[in-house]
Amino acid sequence: MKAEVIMPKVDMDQETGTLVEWLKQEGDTVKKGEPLFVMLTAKASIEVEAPESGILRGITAKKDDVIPVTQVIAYIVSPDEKFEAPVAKPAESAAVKAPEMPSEAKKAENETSSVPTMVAGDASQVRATPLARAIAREKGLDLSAIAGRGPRGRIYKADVLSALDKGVGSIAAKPAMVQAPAGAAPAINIPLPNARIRERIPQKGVRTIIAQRLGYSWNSIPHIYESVNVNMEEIVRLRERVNQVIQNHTGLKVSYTAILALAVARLLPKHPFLNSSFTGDEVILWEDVNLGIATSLEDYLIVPVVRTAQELSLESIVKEMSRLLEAARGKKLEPADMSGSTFTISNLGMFGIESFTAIINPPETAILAVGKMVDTPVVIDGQVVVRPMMNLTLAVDHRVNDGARAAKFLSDLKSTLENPYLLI
Amino acid sequence: MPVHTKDVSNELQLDPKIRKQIVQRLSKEKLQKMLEQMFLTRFFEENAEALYMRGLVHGTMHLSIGMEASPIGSIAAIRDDDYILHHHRGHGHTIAKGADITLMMGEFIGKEPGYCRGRGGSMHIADIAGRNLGATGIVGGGLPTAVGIGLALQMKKTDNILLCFFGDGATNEGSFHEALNMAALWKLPIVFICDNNQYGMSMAVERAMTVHHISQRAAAYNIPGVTVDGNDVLAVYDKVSEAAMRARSGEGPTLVENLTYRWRGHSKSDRNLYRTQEEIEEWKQFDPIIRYTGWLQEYKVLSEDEIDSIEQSAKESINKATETALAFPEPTPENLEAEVFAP
Amino acid sequence: MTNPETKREITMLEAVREALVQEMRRDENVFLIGEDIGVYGGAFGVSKGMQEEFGMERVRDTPISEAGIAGACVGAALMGMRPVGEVMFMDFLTLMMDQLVNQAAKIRVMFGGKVSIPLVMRAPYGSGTGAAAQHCQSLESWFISTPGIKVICPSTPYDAKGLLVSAIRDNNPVVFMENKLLYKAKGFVPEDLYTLPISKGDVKREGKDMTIFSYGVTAQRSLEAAEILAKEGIDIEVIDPRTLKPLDKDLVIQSVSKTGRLLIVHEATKTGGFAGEVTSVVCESEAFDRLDAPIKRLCGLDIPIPYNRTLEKAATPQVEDIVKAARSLAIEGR
Repeated sequence: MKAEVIMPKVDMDQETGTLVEWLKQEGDTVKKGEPLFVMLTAKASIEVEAPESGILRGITAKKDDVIPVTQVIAYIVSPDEKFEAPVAKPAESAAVKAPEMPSEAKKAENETSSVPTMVAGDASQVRATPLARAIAREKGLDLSAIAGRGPRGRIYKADVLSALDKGVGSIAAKPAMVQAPAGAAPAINIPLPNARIRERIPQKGVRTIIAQRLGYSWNSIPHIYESVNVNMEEIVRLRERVNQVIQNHTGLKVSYTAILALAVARLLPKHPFLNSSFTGDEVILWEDVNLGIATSLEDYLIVPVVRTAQELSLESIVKEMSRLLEAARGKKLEPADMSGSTFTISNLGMFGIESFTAIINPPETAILAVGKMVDTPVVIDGQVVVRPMMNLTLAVDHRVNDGARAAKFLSDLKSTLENPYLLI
Repeated sequence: MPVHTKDVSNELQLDPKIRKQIVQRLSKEKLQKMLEQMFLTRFFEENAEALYMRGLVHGTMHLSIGMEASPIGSIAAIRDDDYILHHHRGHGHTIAKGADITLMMGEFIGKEPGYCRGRGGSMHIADIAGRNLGATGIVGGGLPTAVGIGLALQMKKTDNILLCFFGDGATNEGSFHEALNMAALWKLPIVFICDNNQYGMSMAVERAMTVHHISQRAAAYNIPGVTVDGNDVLAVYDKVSEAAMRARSGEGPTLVENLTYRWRGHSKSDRNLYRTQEEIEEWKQFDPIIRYTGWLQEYKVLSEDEIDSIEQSAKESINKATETALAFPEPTPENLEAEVFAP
Repeated sequence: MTNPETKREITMLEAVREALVQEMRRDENVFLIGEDIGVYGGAFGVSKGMQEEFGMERVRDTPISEAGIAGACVGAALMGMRPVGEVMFMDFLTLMMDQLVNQAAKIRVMFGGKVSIPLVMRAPYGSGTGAAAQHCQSLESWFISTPGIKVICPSTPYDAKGLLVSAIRDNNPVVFMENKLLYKAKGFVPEDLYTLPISKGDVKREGKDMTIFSYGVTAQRSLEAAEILAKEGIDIEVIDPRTLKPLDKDLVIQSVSKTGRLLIVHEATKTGGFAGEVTSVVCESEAFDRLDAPIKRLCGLDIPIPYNRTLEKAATPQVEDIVKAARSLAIEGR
């Protein structure tokens, strides 16, 4: 035998690699340095080269297998060599996701020390007593975010109650449960300052949910932020024209947020990874664009949802946003009006905020932060001119999207807003 | 010629004068009833076999074709209010104890109106109301139970008795010894009757025990033991009558061995590898029905025509019973667990 | 009725005898059968003096023929009598197996439900007497897994009397387990004839922190353990099913739903033992979601009971073993 072919470790914190495809097949002659297979890490897909020249033999990994790094997945042998697959050491024989190879998987199970950590967290792997599970279910807590005090981290009722006290572990929208990675930050005790207390405000209701969800998001979603400045002069013009018509029809004013919503809703179907959810072991691309419009109402944030926005006209969006706002003011929002969004727009322009970064609202994988439109000197065709500029900052979940994807969407959005006739 | 065939053809055969006396002691009605029951048993089993071969029977069955004289002669010797306890080859015993053949057939094919509501099948037909306390499928399993039945009869101070039937194989079980010892000790009103068909499945009696006659084993319990020509319904009737009288009068049990032979295999899976066709043919010469009808004609009890008509009518009854039973409803599984315990 | 001011205390052995005597006086179909139960009074003296009152027929000594004794009970029961058999040691039930398992348990269903077998087989069981491997077993799981047989195992004289009377009156075969060490245990027993319901367990001690499920002598040991742990602030509920088959599942489910923790204690060997069955009952019920720790079993070791006193004690759960197991389960994750 000339060489082992292994799943290489290419990232510092990488524990597994997914086999995307073999570029050479069993028995093929390969040259040293020639691409052998494609692997996927959390960050990138990589072509792995042959470590030696010879014949490829003894392939054990298949497409989509998630394989612990350094595990041998094939051999390169001399053309004249009679190949016998070495007996795999149990510690190296496990393909984590290999339903076709139950005996191998079982081997891995028996050899607990060799079970590789899953790429993503899986609540079914959490050790918790049935009672702890029942309470967590009832209270909407994510057990994987709770530290258990029992053997091998088993979570008891007492752990769940204490997490509940501290607001740890609330989970995101159903039915597609987003699961935090195993080992997410457990609750810790940080001493409070020794100061006079003005007031104690119990964490409750909507604020509890906001705290739990966004805490979860911040702890477990790797955010990428990208910003663009958009020249809004055409939008200002467009708004003046349509406002009159729509106001005649509906008595409602067309807000910039509504126009942004229209643009985003029309573009997202072309950028499906930004209109998606991540469950831990799969990405769900949504057909519908359910736009969450983050809205500050008195002392709290609500995110009413404009459903199937990709099919709505501007007038319909305006009407729907108005209905939702009225309902919110009258505290008559139905739960359905506040859940199930697939993408969120958050506009703080009305508060004079020029640019900001937002936190992704799970199970979404992207959020658009909208700043105030400001007349700004800009250079156009070599001339300094003043234009109404608006900052858009997009946050995406790096587990699903990379920077290029986010950039492409932002760039499309910018073009569309600068040439709103493209919307037609 | 196998040794036991010789016994039947020579030493065990009744003196014709004695046989004639037995016939004269019995009413024509009684003699005719015994014949009817022998025909019914034969035809029941032939029909059963046919149903089995047509795939209408679930499980197995144990046929006693050729052995009919033993249960029918024995049970003819007791009263209707006496009891019997028998074994897996028990169709003849059940018919002799007066069972309804339609309900028997119903049980045989596993139907709800069958005697045991389709729970027992061929091996466990019991007719509790008819004081037929059922058939056990465990070889020798009924013998200790018989002790308890005998005890109850004795303690209740009834004058009823129990006929406890078992096969030759059962006499090699420990339970046989415990039961006969206890019954003898307490002088229980039991007649122990061995339907010795000479094979415990494939195990020939002479390969399974050193005594020539199973009845010799009675000596160990200091009770009478007698071997009878088990293919002679009259001889069986006669000897069991004596034993029954002894049991009823409080003198205790008797061991009666009815020497007979099963024509068919042990069960439907038997390929008869342990015996010769000649031996089977030899024993067919001692067909208990042909012998009995011969004597009935010889002693002018029944004419050939009368016998034909009894045979015909038995055949028709069985056919009718089969037809009715086939149309019986199937049992349903809803309350199976609830019926395990008595309320 | 019994005057509560003069609560009479008698031993379990006397309670068993009183049940037999009173039932035999009440119903002439009841009779005793077994080895050395006459003038000898039975191996443990339960039937002492009874032959004088009831005669040799109704307190019947037998040859050493266990299959015969069991068969006598089955046959007599078939005939409407109510036999009470005594097997000298539960271990000897092995010699009765065909009559109990293939006959008594099966006859009713096999014959289409048209007959019943009202028999009781009293079986002294358990270790602690130094009688070694063939005279100390707890074989309840064999009978629990046989449809058609009820299994009762009292832990107090009061339960023993009331349940034995019920067992005699029940129309089914009952294996009635009597713990040899408990024969000397004293407790309140009414002088009057009374019955206790079969398949109805009893909360022997209420508590909130965890449940111990146990029966027979280990139920008594569990109560002792609970008192010891009470001093440590651990509040244990001890439930005694009294009837092992058919089991009072509701009692178990209710108690475990309340406490969230369950320790099952019995003398019988662990593998294939009743504790596994009780565990499954809980896991299949709504109590599963109330469990806040894994169910634990504390059972006899999987060994033949040894003769030597130290080894014998090590073979089955003693009070200190229960204390240890219960404490560890009660504080786990709290």
